[in-house]
Amino acid sequence: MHKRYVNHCTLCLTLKPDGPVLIKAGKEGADPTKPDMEFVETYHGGGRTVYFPGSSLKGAIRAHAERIVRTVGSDRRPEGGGFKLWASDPLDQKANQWLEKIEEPHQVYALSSFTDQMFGNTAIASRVRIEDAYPKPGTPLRLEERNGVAIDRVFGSVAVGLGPFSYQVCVEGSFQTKIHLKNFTLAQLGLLGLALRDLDEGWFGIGFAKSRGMGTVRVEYEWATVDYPGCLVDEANRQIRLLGSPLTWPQGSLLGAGEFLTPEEAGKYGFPKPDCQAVPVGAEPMPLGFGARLTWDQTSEAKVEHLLATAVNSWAKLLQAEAKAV
Amino acid sequence: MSPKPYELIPFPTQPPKLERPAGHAQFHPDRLHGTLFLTLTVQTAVHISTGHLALGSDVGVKGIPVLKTMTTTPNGRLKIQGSSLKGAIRAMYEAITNSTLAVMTSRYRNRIPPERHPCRNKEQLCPASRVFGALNWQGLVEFRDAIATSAGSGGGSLPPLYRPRPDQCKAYFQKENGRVIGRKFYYTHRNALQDSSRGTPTQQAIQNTVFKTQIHFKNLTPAELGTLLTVLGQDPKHSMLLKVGGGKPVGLGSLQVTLDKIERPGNLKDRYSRYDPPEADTLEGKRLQAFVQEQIGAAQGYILPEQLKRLAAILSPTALREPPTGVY
Repeated sequence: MHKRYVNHCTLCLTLKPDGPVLIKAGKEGADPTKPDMEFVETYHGGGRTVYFPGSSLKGAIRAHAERIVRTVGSDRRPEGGGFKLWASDPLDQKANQWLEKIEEPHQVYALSSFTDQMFGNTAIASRVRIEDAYPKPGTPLRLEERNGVAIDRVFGSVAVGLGPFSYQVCVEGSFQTKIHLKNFTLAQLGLLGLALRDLDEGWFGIGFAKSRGMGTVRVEYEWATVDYPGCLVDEANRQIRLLGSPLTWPQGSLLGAGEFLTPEEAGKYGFPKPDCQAVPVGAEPMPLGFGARLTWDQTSEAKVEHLLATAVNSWAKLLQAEAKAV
Repeated sequence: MSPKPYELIPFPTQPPKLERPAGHAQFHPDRLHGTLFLTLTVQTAVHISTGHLALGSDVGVKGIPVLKTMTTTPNGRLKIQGSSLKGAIRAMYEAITNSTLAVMTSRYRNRIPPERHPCRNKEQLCPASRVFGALNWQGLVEFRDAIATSAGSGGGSLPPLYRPRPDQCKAYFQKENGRVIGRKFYYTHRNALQDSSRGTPTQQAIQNTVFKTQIHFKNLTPAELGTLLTVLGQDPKHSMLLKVGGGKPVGLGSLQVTLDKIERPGNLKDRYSRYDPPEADTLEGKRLQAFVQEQIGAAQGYILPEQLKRLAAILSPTALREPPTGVY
């Protein structure tokens, strides 16, 4: 459902290397003072700087989200279609060819796997958008050069043709990024929260040489917002009201996409309805006085982790429903 | 001429059994996942070169103007790179299982039995490649950098060493067919030689320096974890030291591994149904010993007994040799 805009979540977070990290540039540059394998660089904040590309983050987060889904659910399309928790193989280019022929967009969505519904496949666009992570102004970055060499097992010498090679790593710094999730269900936000929790705990890493001590990062949240662009805040009745509809919710409501649709439309896409959780944060009007926004902030009582934990409750409900269905 | 400070462990006669790897797509319920917490204690000085030179005063080593450095953390603690540990541990794992060579010098390609060439087909991998990875295939174990528990390092002088000369030394090859015999491992020694007159000044982790590290593992079978634990010297019948870094022939690089604890995630379904994960199951003391013994038991039949016996004799922590002096 990309034709309408019902809800949008933005997570602002900082990634801090916990040990060396290298996201390799594809080609060796012309600068002879640089190591063989360079960190990707771009122009940002008035100069050249290393960064974590959004694509590198999305790939790693998606892969882990799929790993979670396959662990608690299934890795293949269930027969009958009642089962929702499964993840397809995104590298199988042919797997979704039949979906591309379906004209009804709601069917393409409903027939895609749980993770494809979030991250997209060749037939539908992603609802998750991850920005490049740039160094946070004011926090120094520390880059160093490392050398590696492959040792021949028979002679114990440097394997000719395999080294020595040098590579650049970032060992300290703060990289800030934003993750956007639009028209999401609460279970989807919950799964994203679980993947980010595992990233922080070192269950997976990003970039080069993950099996050799590199790639782990710590995740620190800054703030998060959840927007309902088609709603108004009714301060008098402490309610959120959907424009052009009799639908209302209490001011502190975390709402999934299905809540904004008619039961019939939600059913076509397979959005759960009800998909609502009470939160201790009240909606406030968005800039221009239109739309409703809930804000979580590390400086207040309502921390971003609370938002994610609440969403994980909806994810857990889905798990329980699936367990009963089996 | 002194005897060689190394031995070749011959390849097994049977070709390796190639199987489909477990992969990373999910945490399989019938396999093992978790983290090994290790303490590495330096037995004989360790030097793992960064390839850079620095002023002794810059790295806190007194009395040496310029030396070859080791990797350190930003706050000056010595570090053993995860890649160094992984390479050393993988080489041992390869030797005691029926595996291919992960690394070979292309110049000697024709003299290496074809079944020992590195795995290329990611659907058909040898035992070591299934656990440690192969070309375009990520392994199931992740090594962290090992970090010294205290600041500071020592200086030493690495005696001049020469490259191996397979072109001149027939001992690497079988007499009958000219093919390589097996894998080279250096003996563990009582002490590390230093040569202050002709040697290269180096930054070293001196004896009794303690490093802490972790190895994460997922989707391992009990036999695979048992083999890894054996390589880490946890089988009391075959205790072994690790040999890492430079100067292995002259006694440097011995590390004693202690397994402090193993953390295993509680029920994974529970872990993925709540934001605050359930506490991991931490195996320590007697429970740890029992678990380790169980996995090592499961590795019987997976590990090649003859190769294990020979490797354990070379890397023994008790039968230490004197490092060779002069020509060897």
